[in-house]
Amino acid sequence: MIVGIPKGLLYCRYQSFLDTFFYELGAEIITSPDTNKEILNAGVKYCIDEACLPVKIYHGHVASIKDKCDMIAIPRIMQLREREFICPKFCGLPEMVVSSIPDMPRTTMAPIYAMSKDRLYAWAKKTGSMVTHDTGRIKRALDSAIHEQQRFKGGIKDEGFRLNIALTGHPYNLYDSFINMNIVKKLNKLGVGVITEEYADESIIDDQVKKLYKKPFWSFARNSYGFAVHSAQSKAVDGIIYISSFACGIDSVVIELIKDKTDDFPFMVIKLDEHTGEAGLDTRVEAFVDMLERTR
Amino acid sequence: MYYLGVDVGSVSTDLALIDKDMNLIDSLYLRTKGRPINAIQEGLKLLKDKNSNMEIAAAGTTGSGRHIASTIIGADIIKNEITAHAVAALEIDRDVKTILEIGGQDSKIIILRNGVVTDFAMNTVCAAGTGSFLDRQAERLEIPIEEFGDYALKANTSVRIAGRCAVFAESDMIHKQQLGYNDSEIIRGLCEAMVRNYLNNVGKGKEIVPKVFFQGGVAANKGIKAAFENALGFEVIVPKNHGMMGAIGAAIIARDAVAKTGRTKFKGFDLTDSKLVSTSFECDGCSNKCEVVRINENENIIGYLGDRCGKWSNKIAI
Amino acid sequence: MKVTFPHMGNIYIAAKALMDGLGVEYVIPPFTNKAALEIGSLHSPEEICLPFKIMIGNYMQAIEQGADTVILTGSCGPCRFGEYCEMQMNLMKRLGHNLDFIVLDVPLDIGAKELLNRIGKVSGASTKTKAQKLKAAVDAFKVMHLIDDIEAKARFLTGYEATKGAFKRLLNSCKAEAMNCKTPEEMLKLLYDYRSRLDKVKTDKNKKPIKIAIIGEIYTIIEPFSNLYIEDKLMDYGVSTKKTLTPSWWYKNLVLSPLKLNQLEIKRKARDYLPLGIGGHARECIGEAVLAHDEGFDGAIQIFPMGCMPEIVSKAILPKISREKDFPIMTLVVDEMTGEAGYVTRIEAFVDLLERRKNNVLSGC
Repeated sequence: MIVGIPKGLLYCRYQSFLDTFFYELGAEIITSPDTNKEILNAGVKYCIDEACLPVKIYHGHVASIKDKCDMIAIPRIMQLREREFICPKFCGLPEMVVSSIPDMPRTTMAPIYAMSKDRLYAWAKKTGSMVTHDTGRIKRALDSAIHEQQRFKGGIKDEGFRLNIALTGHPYNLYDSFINMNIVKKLNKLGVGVITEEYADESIIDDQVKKLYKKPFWSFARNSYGFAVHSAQSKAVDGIIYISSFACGIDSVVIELIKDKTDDFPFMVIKLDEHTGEAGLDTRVEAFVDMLERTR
Repeated sequence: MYYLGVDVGSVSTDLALIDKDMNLIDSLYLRTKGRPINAIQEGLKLLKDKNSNMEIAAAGTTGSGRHIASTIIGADIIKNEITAHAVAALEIDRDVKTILEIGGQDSKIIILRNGVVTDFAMNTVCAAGTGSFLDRQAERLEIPIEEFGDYALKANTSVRIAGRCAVFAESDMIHKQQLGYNDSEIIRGLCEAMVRNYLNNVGKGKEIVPKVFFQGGVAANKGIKAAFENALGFEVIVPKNHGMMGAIGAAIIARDAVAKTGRTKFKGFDLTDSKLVSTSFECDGCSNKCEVVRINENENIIGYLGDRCGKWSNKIAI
Repeated sequence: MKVTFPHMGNIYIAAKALMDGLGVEYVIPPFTNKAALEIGSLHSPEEICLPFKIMIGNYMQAIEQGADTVILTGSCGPCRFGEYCEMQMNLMKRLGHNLDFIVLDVPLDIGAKELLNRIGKVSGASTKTKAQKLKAAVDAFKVMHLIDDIEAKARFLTGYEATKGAFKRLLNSCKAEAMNCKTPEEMLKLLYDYRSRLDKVKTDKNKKPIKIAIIGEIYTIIEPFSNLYIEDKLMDYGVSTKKTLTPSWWYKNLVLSPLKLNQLEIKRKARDYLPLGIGGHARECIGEAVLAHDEGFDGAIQIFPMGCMPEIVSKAILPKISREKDFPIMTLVVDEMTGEAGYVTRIEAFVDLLERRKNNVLSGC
């Protein structure tokens, strides 16, 4: 049994979990290559036009491996925490993919509620049974997967740079260097260090979120908002760059909320879609860094 | 006995005259220039001068200005341009399965099976997939648009020009020029970009199978036709009167309509001598505040357009 | 306190009944019009969805008439609508308007006490007795049901009418007269009267009209301005339409959802294509498409505002339903840039398509 795992969207964060789980079940695993031009073109071809760039790219990842495996693992992430949600496109991801790409192999459909181990087990049981009927093995695979995931830290915290910026946005935009055209390297080259939300304390984020009239119900929004507003108010960094995909519904809200709380603190939004030119991105990043240097 | 079709688009106003055997007797292409009434009047005058003593048995209008056109000429039917294009293509060949249409300001795809429209789509957002985008780039390159196709066919390689939006495509094109590509390669790149955008946007998810007709003003461009054939992998047919298909379709539908009703509502060519004036006002009947257009022929009000509730347009029973 | 609220279809009629019953001062914003959309688009973040922009326009026009308090429903679905209140409060403050927002959210999120507290703010401005207040609420509820009922009936029966435009005229005059009523009792009487008048309109049962289901995002379906009055247009073409999502449906759904008794039929129909609720009304959209096919409708039109997250998912799934069931579905995406000409062309062409399919026995073979 060959299980294909597309490297798009939240794979960057849950790689350890997914890989370990299917490996421990005894499946052979193939992953799609890192995002490249071909994957982008396939994604744009299959996915509906209204979707955002990361979702299109995810379709491209699926297309690149669909003929090479017996089943594809498409995580349907419903909730990561109680009373919080994530973007509806994650909740309907398997249906989107299956309806848009022809000749698909079997895909995982079970929902993931990651609030407790019990609920994760419900997912594991359904998904694991597509590979093995040994429930003991499924249980053990889940345990190892959770264990591996807990060891995963992720995030970026550069040291020793003169200037530092907080880099925020959805993880798949921050950690896919094809999507963001290597922005972290570009910044480093310009002498700018980068820190991401993984290095902010949970309590800091909670403090900021509590000050809102209404608790944001998206997990991503919560993190990006709390981290960005804290970074600005504590002046822990020199500026904030928010990487956003064009037409992202959540970003359109979070960016407004952040702007509302950060006054004149240097804050730049970089919008990405399949037509973003690298020349334009370079110009904007350089100009932003120049500005930080001059206001310093 | 002739049948008249009038297609009032945002860029051009087309008039077509067909006889009972569906032969195109005469056709006219005029720039609308934002004044549809003038264009229609001028077109009718030209037709009258060229074809004396002709009798119009039915008249139909289509295009975005179909309602105003109908008010003016007295049309037997007012039909949207998708149906008009499909009807005209089916008249030529019952086996057509796909129609690609690219006009000045919009583009559409029509899917037909067994002589019936089963699906269609229109461009929604931007002009990058339409004729005016090509016009503009031709102007920038100082190459007549008529020669665009020949240039594209001359290129041995092509360059990828990105951008679904006209503005971004243009800046990418400038960038590629700065990198040293020649005009032919750039033009071929533009044609391919346009076709790619068309297929990814308007044509997304549509099953494009032959026979394929390519209609609309842009169909004259050999470069685009070649790019379509390249991308699709089979022949794309450009009908002889590809630019007139909307107007021809309207004439055909009008003929069928009059066959049922028995007599035409067409007002005759005298209206070319009338003074036609349109004025607009904001209706203050309710807080919808519709913008209503009133059309006068000499001293008479011949029609109202644009009110939602029918307070004005129902006043005039045509 | 002078209360106002954003427009959403017929809600203004029920709101009028409620406020009249409570004796609270209120402003009904002018019907959403181009000016409202322009003001709203000017002040709103560019990438926010259309309903947000229109609502801001409603507030601004209501403020001109003296409104100082906005009643708004919250929601916790993962769609952006739930974040409107926070953003709109910030935005209105930044524009220098001191508006009081009363956000009616589900008790699970804010607690029952807080909800009662918020409701109390409105009813506190009323001098009526508790019994009278309760009656006002019940009357408003009845009004909402009646007007939704009348509208649905008129829209569906249009295809069968013997005199063209009879149902549209009746519906329009019903809404106009409702606004002239002084008390909720008067309004109820009027609505009951209109409902029975609907039954007396002459219809031709032998007609076989084109029937289209309107599905998609709830706001753009309900607020006619946002969908460029699609139902009125279809009425003019003699098409029978149906939409499941209405204000009274929404209310019923909200009340029943904790018991998981809501929308059993639609959920069942959606099961093959989208078995889980993913936020907004995406699952309803899918279920209604299947339901419309099963009920013998000729086609469905999906409407949603540009960038609407849940409906993007359903848009991706609808072609599959369309393919497998041979059931035409057209999607219309609306935003402040939507041009009427292209929009109308598509609606007309879609109706043509359905008509020709119907008359051509071969189609679909």
